[in-house]
Amino acid sequence: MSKVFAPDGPGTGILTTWWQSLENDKGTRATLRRCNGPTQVMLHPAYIRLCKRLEPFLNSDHNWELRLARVVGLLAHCRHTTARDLARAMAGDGKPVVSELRFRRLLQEKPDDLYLAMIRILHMLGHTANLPDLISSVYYWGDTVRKRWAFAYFPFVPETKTA
Amino acid sequence: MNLLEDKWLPVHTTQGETHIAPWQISDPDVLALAAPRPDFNGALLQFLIGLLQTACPPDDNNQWGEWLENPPAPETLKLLFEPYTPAFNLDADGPKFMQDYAPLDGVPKPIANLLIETPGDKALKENRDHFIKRGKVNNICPNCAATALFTLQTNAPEGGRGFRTSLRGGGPLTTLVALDTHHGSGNNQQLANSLWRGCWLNVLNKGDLPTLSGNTDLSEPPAIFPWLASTRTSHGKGDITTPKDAHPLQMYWGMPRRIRLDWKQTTRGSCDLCGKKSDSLISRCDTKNYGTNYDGPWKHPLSPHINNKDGLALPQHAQPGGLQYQHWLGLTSTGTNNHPAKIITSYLESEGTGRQLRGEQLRIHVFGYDMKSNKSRCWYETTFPLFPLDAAIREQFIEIAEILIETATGVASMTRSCIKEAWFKRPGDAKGDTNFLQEAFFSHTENAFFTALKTLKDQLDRDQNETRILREWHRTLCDSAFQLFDYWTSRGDFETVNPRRIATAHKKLKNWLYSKKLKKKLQLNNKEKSA
Repeated sequence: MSKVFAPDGPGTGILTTWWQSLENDKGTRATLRRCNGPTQVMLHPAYIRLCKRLEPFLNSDHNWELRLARVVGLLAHCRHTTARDLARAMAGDGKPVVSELRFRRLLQEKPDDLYLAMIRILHMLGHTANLPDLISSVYYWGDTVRKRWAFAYFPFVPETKTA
Repeated sequence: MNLLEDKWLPVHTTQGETHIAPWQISDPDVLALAAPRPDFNGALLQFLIGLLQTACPPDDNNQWGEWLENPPAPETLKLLFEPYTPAFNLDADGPKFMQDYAPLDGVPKPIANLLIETPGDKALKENRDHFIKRGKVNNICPNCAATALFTLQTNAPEGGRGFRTSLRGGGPLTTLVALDTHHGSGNNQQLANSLWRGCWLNVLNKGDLPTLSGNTDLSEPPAIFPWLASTRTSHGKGDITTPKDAHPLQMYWGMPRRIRLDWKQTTRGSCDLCGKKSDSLISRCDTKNYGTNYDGPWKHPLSPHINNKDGLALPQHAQPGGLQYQHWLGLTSTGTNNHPAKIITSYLESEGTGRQLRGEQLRIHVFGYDMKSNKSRCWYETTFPLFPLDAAIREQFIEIAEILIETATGVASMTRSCIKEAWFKRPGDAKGDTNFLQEAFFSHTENAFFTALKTLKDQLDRDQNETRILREWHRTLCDSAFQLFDYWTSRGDFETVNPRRIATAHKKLKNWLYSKKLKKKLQLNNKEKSA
């Protein structure tokens, strides 16, 4: 698999720098946050500029434009960063931040439905996320990511009878 | 038909498949045996080894080495075999090879009864011949009949009341020395593989004979070839044949079953085993129970032995699950309870006087049936490397090898139980055979195991320490465990399974793999890691 969005990959660097620049460009962030799906993200000039920069790395990936749009849109929903992996953060300490039922449903999401589900998750996490994890997880969403998330989440969530 | 004169041995040659007489095996064009079944190949190899051991064992390692490099001319072998010709008639008047001395008055049986996997009378009556069906083999050619006869007498399993097992018990494990043509030192000095070398590597020196079980005072031919005299029958409990009652060479020619091929009703056609056309296909044989009952401290030179709880060395048999590297140590080095085959130790443990070959180009060829009383469950066959070791490093080498095997066994079983926990809500109650998971773990790590041992040997030879090998082995174990776990639990539709169970089992496996307990066994402590 391509390593463009590995934690130290070139794509991750470009997107992180761009995300930092949103602090001084609140208008762009607001517009992106109001998008109700990746197709709307794709119409925004900021997205198109990012596309231009990332195209050389991504143009051999299947459906890369749409996948990138999901990442860009979701980044606009983040305010703060943390070192904690996303799924680990969802598990919380003691009481899960994202309930087991919701987490299981999240794991079942198809890529197309992930966007809206993740907006809600980011909201629950207080708009705080590990950016490299968010970028690669959303871009490469699939069984490998699902498994990684499950391995990070379940050991920290005590088993409940209802689940 | 005479088995020393006729061209009956199926072989691969550089020109293709053909049949040769035993004395032609030293022709360098003859590469390997080509019998239609692997158990036949294993038996024929032992037939040839036994023949060479009987007719022309080397005087010492020099002569042995000489013939290994430069095989004798076929004509030389022909002369050496000639005195034994009368014992190898298959169908003439008088004694017949591997058959009872006198006519038998038993019930004639279908010829398929010579084959070890043929369903028995009881299985047929109860209609239980599910996997190996009745009626597949009805007529076989004399070549295959001779081979089947020798195969059965060499491997004879329990066969009902008074039907005796082979000298090494039912379906023994055989370990032979073989040339390694793939993993050798790679220089041009290497010996090429041939049938001759495959046999000659396994022939002991003349001087070794008195050290084997058996009575060398008995020099009459029937003490070696039991079919040359009336059978030592075994109606009573005390009618046993111990090493006192037979020459050591009888171990190569043991005859526990009373059989006579029926030459009266032969037909013309193709053999059901090898497909070859023949004018005299055999369809029946006479059999009778209470044949020679081998008992007592026999120790076959081509088989590994293991002590039972009374300290008696018993021949080893293959077990379900087959032959993997956790068995390798027991087959190649003497332990408190196990004795490798004499032929193996003659390469490993006779300091200075042992057999020397240039480079590391030997493997151990292991094969045998997995029998459950008279049912053959499987035929196992594999080869492992054989490491000639200096006495100075042997102890340390074996100690590390034991650690590698012990930790692999632990991780294999832990991986299996974690996979089961991921699969089932109550893994303890889950039925079904999951041994394949452990077997998969061993075959996954086998290459790494022998690579590690080879590196270990080189390092010990150069007096370096072995920590790096153990650390790498830990990595191999972890990688393989996770790979197998992922393969069996989280392939494909991850969302449809129970992700919590998988995640919990994964965490358990991970904790165990990096536990202090395992690291201690591998002599790794955390200090070194941070250093």
